[in-house]
Amino acid sequence: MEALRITPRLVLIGLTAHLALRLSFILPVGFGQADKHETALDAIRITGALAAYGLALLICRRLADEYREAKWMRLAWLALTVNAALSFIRPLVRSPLPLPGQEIDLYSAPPIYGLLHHLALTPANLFLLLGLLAMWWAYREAGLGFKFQRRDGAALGGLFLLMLVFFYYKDLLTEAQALYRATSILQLVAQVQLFLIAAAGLLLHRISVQMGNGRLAVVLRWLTLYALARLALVLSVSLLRAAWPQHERLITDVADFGWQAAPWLFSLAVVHQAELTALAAERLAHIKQQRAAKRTVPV
Amino acid sequence: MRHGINEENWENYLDGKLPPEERDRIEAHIIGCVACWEFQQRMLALNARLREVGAAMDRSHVLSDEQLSAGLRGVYAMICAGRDAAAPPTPVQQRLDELAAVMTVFCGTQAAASALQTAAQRSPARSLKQVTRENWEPFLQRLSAIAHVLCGRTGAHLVWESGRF
Repeated sequence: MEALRITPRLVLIGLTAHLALRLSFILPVGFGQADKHETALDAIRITGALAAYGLALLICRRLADEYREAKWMRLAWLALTVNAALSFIRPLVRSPLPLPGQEIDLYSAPPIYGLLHHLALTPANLFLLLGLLAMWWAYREAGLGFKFQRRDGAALGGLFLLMLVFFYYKDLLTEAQALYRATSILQLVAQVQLFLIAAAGLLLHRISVQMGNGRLAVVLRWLTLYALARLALVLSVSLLRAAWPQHERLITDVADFGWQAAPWLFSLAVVHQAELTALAAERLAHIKQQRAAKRTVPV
Repeated sequence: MRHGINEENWENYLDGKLPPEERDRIEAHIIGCVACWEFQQRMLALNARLREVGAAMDRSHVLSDEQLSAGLRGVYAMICAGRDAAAPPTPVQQRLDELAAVMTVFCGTQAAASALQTAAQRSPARSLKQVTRENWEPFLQRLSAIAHVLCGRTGAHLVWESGRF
């Protein structure tokens, strides 16, 4: 598995390079003026997302094979593979490569891109949610005593309340007044999915805490971070835009750092999982080598 | 409980964790009780010696997280099994310790301990203490199945190979 040799460190370097490159274009013109380098920033955004999700797609598929005899985990990784595949095409339909320089802000982008974007986003979110839930279920089925605690219930209740508040202010969504009704409905569905994904992320986080330590806990923590980060971004950007509409461009420029970092968080989770497999393979090879050496020792 | 001072009182007293009135009560007793005074002196000397040795070990050995975790897990397993620390572990116990060490790296201390217990419960052994050479294989099969969920096929294979006699 050559893809397994891509280490978390390498992914972190990719993330840093991506954000640093973006920053290098924004700093000279200042935050809020990023549209002056629209073409370059578009290229950076698309390349970064393609690299992060492409990497995840490659590895997720192999990880699904790794779990071929564990039904729920296989389903989980297959769902995450589909999520990665849909997320891979998402930056292309949001602002097609043949049209660099296209406005990427959904407030001002041509309406068809908003629709295309959400047509890819909604199923991607659905598969991500299914993947996280299948993973949680697989760990529960393993019977290792991972327990749902009262504070998890409180956290999920908090998320639910937040969702209700969010529904109340749903007109703040970028596509609330979209030309196509389907776009605004899909965006609303996508937001509900983000809440559910965050809830699934919290469940996985509880399992990672109960595991104590170990490499698998690291994988679950990155997945949780990925699940929560996107919801946090949606909420904070919506609120900030509503509170300071005059700084809309500034808020978008800053928030885009978070949005563009998110795919790398998913990649990090996947690469950590691949590292776990690689380490197991190394240790297995070592044990086999030791056994073989023992067998060949003359008596 | 001896002379109104139980084990917990002694432990907290020697660690300096007792509230003042409780500490005064014990010290008032020690002044008049030779047996307790001797016990206190022995424990203080032992504590001091342990600290010295601990400090010396700290200076001479730097443990990795994995080594530290494996060591703590071993101690924990021995406490759980009620095993005499001086008694040599049986081959089955040794293998269990090795399996726990292998799994700890991947899925953490608590998950590894739970996996061993669950595998034993689901096997003919029914509990970790009842796992023997005779019922080892079904136990190992159950453990590999759990490892498959946690760490994938390679992880399960690793557990199987590590546990094989």
